[in-house]
Amino acid sequence: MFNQYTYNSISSVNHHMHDLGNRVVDINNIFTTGYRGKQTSFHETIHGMKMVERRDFNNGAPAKTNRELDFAIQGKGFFEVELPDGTRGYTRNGSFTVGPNGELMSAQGYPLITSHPNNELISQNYDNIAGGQTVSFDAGATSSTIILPIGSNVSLDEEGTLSTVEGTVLGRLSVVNFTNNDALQDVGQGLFIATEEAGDIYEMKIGAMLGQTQVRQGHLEQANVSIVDKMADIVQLNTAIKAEMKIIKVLDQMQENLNSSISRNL
Amino acid sequence: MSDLYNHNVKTLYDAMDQSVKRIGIIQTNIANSHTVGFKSIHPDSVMFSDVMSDVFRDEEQGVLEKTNHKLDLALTKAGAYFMVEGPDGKPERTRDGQFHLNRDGKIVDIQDRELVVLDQQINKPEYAELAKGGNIKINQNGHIHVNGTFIGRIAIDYEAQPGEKVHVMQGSLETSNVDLSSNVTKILQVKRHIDTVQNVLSMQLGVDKALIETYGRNL
Repeated sequence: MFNQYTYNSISSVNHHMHDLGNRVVDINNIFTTGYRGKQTSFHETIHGMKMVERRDFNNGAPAKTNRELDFAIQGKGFFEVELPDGTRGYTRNGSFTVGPNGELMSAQGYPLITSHPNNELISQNYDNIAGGQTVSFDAGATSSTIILPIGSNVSLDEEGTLSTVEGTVLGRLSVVNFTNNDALQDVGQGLFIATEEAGDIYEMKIGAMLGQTQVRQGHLEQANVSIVDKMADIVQLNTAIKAEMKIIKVLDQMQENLNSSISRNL
Repeated sequence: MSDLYNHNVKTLYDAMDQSVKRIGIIQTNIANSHTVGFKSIHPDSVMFSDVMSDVFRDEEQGVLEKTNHKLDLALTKAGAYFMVEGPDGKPERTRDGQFHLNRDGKIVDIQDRELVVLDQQINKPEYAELAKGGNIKINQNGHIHVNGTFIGRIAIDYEAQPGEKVHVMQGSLETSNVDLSSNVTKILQVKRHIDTVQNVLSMQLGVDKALIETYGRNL
C-alpha cells in the first residue's frame, strides 16, 4: 500500500512537471507568430489523475507589419500547405514568402494550397499586364498554388481574393477547419497535421460578416499566450509539486520508522 | 491472555491501516489539486475497514476559471452535475465540464462520453452545421443554440431548492476545490498518528519479548 501511494505521487509529480515544461515552452514562444498555447488539463481517475493535452485555438491579437505578404487569420481556421511528402499541413502562421517559381509559400517553406472545389477563381485564365506573362490555372485541378507575377504588388479583398494592384485576380486564399480541432497533431514549426479523430475538413467562409473568418493583409497574428497567466500557472504548479514531494518524504519517513521500530525488538 | 494480546495487536494494525488509507486520500487530493471539477475528499471520513467508495466528498463549489473554449462548461452551484452517457449506455454524473466535438460532431467529454442532451433536434440540418463549426451558444439555462437555432438542452442532475437555480457558464471551467495547505497539514497529523501507533506496536512487541525471556528463563 505504501508503494502504491509512492508510485501515485511520483506519477502526479511527473504529470505536473510535464505541465510545467509546457508552460515554459509557451513562454518561450511568446513572440512566435501564430503560436497556439498548450493547455494541459487533468481529470480524475481511480488512482490519482490522468493528463490530457490540447491546444488553445483562440485568436491571438493581430500585429501590424505592413508587409504585403503577411496575413493574419481572425477567427477559426488554418492556412493549408503541401508538405514535401505530398500530405497536407495546417498552420496559423501567415508570414508568406515567394518561392523560386513565383509560388506563394508558407513561412516554413511549403507551398500554400487552395485545395478545395468550388474555387472558381483559381480556374480562370488571366493575362498579367504588369509582368507581360500569361499564367493559366488548370480548370480541373483540385489543388493549386497561387503564383505571384514577378514585380507586382498584391492586395487582398474581404472575401480572401488575392489580386495584383492593377486588378488582376490571382486566386483565393483558402482557410480550412476541422470538426474536432483538438485532435490535430502538432508537428512543430507551427504546423499541424490532420488525424482521423479530427473529422471532416471544410472550408471557412472568408468575410467580414459575424461568424465568418477574416483574413487581414499586412498583419501577423501574435501568439495567444499571456505571460502573466503562464507565470501564475507556474507558481501554482510549483506549489503542487512541492506538496507532492512532501507526501513522498512522509511515506519514506514512515517506512523508515517502521523498519527501525520493528527491528528494535528483534 | 493470548486473546487479549491478539486483540491489542489487531486494533493497532487497524488503526495503522486506517491512517495509511488517509494518507492515500490526501495523496489523491493533492494529485488532483489541478484537476477540473475535482471534489476534495475528507481524510477523516475514512472509518475502520472501509472502502474508498464510502468516503465523504467536499461538494463545495470550486473557483470558475475563464478559458474561452466554446465547449468548456461550468456549473455555478455545488451538488449539480452534468449527465454523460457511460460506456455501458447508462448515464453517469460528472463535474468535469471539458467538452469537445468528436469527429461525428457529437458533444463528448474528455473520456469520450457523450453529453446527454434533452429535447434533441438531431434530424434538423442545424445539427450537421454544429459539426461544421457553427457558432455554438449555450445560455445560462443550458439551452444549446447553433447559429441561432435551438438544438437541445443540456441535462443537469440537481436537486433544486425552491427559488434556487443552477446556471451553466460557457467558456469557463470549475477548478479543483482542493486546499493544498490544509492537506499538507493533515498529512503531517496523520504521519504523527502513524508514528504513535508504530511506537505502541513496538512497546507491545517489547512486552512480548520480556514475557518470553522472563518466563523462558525459568523453564
